[in-house]
Amino acid sequence: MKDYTAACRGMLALWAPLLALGSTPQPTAGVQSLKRLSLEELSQLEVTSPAKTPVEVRRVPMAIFVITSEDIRRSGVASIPEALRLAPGVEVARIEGSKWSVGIRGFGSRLSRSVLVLMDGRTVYTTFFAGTYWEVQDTVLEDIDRIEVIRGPGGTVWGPNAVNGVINIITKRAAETQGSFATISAGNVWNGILQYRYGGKAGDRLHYRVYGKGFSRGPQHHSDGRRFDDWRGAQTGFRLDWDRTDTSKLTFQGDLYKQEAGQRVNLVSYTQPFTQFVEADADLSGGNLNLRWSQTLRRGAVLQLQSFYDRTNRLEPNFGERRDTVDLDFVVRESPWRRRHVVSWGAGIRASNGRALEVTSGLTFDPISRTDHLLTGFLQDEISLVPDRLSLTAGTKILRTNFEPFAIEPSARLLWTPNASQTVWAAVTRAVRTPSRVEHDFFLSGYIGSGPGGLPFFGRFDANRDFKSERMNGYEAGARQLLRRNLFVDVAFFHNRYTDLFSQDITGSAFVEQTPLSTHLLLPLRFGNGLEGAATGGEIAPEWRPREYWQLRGSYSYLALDLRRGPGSLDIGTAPFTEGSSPAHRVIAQSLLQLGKNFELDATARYVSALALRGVDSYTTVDARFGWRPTASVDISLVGRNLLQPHHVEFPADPGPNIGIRRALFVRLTLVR
Amino acid sequence: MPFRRYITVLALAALLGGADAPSEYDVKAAFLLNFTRFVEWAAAPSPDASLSVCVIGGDPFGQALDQTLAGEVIGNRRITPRRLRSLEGASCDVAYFPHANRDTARSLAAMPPRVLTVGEGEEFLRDGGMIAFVMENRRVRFDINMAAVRQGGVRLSSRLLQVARMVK
Repeated sequence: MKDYTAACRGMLALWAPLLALGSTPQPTAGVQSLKRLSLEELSQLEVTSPAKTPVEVRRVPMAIFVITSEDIRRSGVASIPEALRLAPGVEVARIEGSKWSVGIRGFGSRLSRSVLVLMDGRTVYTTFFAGTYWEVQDTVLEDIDRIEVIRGPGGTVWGPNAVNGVINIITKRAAETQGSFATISAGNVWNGILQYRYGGKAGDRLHYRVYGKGFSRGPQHHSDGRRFDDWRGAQTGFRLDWDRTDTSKLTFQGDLYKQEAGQRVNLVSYTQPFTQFVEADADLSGGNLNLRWSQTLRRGAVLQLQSFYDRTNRLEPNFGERRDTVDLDFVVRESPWRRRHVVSWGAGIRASNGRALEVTSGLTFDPISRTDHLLTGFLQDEISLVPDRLSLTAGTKILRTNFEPFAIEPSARLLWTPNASQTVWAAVTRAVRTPSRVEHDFFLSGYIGSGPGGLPFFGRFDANRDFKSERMNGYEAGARQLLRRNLFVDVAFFHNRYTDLFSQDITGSAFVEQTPLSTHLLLPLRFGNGLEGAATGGEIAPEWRPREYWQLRGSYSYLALDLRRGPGSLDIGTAPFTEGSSPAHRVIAQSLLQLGKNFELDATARYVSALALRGVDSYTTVDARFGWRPTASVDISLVGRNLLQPHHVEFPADPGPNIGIRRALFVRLTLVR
Repeated sequence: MPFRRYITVLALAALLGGADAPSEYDVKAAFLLNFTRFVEWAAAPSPDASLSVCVIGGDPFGQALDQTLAGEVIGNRRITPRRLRSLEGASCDVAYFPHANRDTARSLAAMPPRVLTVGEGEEFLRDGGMIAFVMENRRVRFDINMAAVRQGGVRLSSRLLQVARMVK
């Protein structure tokens, strides 16, 4: 008898959601039964979260998209750049095994020159080549709390190089990663990924974690059969959070990594054979230590102090660099005139030494070693004009570098919140991209062919000691609206005007040069600031949760880049090259479906329009994941990526024929505790 | 035919989907009700006055809060949910600050005594709040800031402290 009632109840429970399909209001029968549960029972209940509104409606006067740890888990990605594909306005294209091009609102390139990237506040943007080496930015992906993607200039708060956007990768506090955690993945392209983390504590105030990770990935598709881009790596690290008192908190963390990434490079030399494709492993290693201290001062003011040390070693087949960076920053946030103002101010100092390790005659640095420094000051006031309705945030960064004695990055942002479900904002900002070592110290030669009289004909970019910062004035506006309890829309528009943009200029006519040997014809070139122009576009990102267990969301991003040579510039084609490196249209559609308590079926489709000028076709493909959780501590996921075709090209390869990104299938087993 | 298969998949999804996982805010509402049972307000204004649970600036609960608190009585005090743009001028016994509220830090700084403040995320405690909901492995947990509790003139039962994920 008892069995029979239980069975009946079970049947009813199964049907309840189906019956609820017909009724418009959310099924809330459960609310009454929840009231009878104890605190302990409530703490153990698994819940479904609403559409991302708590984070997303967050009233910030900038175009921001937050990729949560849940988003990362459910999209089945295995690297940080792949996770960035979810964000509107971000162009992620995989060039080959270990190389990505990431751009925000245009200017996509291997090094994402105009995007500032931070991991737990540590800048990973290198002033060597100006940009981020995405392949060495890694951690246990499940330890990432969120990735904040800010489209548009963020120089006032984040400093130089936050021109087109900021990517803030934030890992979880050690208290949130307690116990043992392991994942094992195996598949056709990602041959294997192993992750292990252990989190523990000493008393109630000190939490820590340590992790280790190793991976081996196979080559992508090569039409010429040269499968050079396999990739292996290992990484370890730790994080320690010590809440010394309620008002004083310390975080200390560090990482150590080593990788071998197969590459093809064009080796140019002034001796025979002049130009040569070399396929070899790049040897990449590095480490960092990061110390942060947060202290609540009198009257609720908060001081945050951070210092980090970062070392990167990069030995590519045609050059090498070792770089050491030290940084010290602080920010104070206070409300001196309660309610009306929130004032933030701070300062920072950074020194970064780069030493060229190996060079070829076609690629040299002068000087071999140099130290760059950066001094910044920052002041910002958030003024409440009409309490809870209208606020203005205005401020500026002031900076000094060894390239430039003085630069400012001011901004003004207006935020209007007519009601709880609506946000409208507009902003005017100025941002700069500081020169990098490459533009200042680099001599880069290219072999053009055999010239008149059989002389080898070269072009060479000579170092430009007068290279200036690139500048941008950004005009933005956006709105967010919760249309219904389960439907949310975010739109943003922008018009960015650039001056002094990077160009590759001819500086004279070709002449015969004797040194370096052998005698050759040389076309003199130089990196300059010859380009100017504008980027215009917008993004719309709706998010709809038709059912508690079913979430649909997506985005459409549009971009029109219009770059041209400035007065007097003799640029050799950087403008069309840059314009052609970013797609005009990008569409993402994602469905996240919870099948009962134990199953998840998630799929993401993406369309990216052609990079016509650079010979890359448009493509549509699908990533999917099926997840099964037989018990609370085990998760088995089947992941397929790029499912619609055996391989497709996303970005032009340099040098050599374009590389197809393969369909990848893998199984991932996750064990907790 | 593929379309019909699609429909079948959808129906299956509907059947299986979220079979008994309650929503985050249903559980948070139930927690709020529980909190009122385990909190003592030092010198409540009048024993028969209603006990106000105020949601400040944007309501993420929908109907869950009303349905949970409807008809509930603590002592002689009837629990009344209220939704306010700001705390100014209102008398609340519990003040709930959703994540979307951007003025949380400012409101907390100017908080009158004997109000239990509840919010979302660890930063809520840093801003001076008393109890913060945090999500952990898809479960709703909460942390307690004892300094703020003592300062604010409310007393928490040891039951709450036991269940809390972290007491600072």
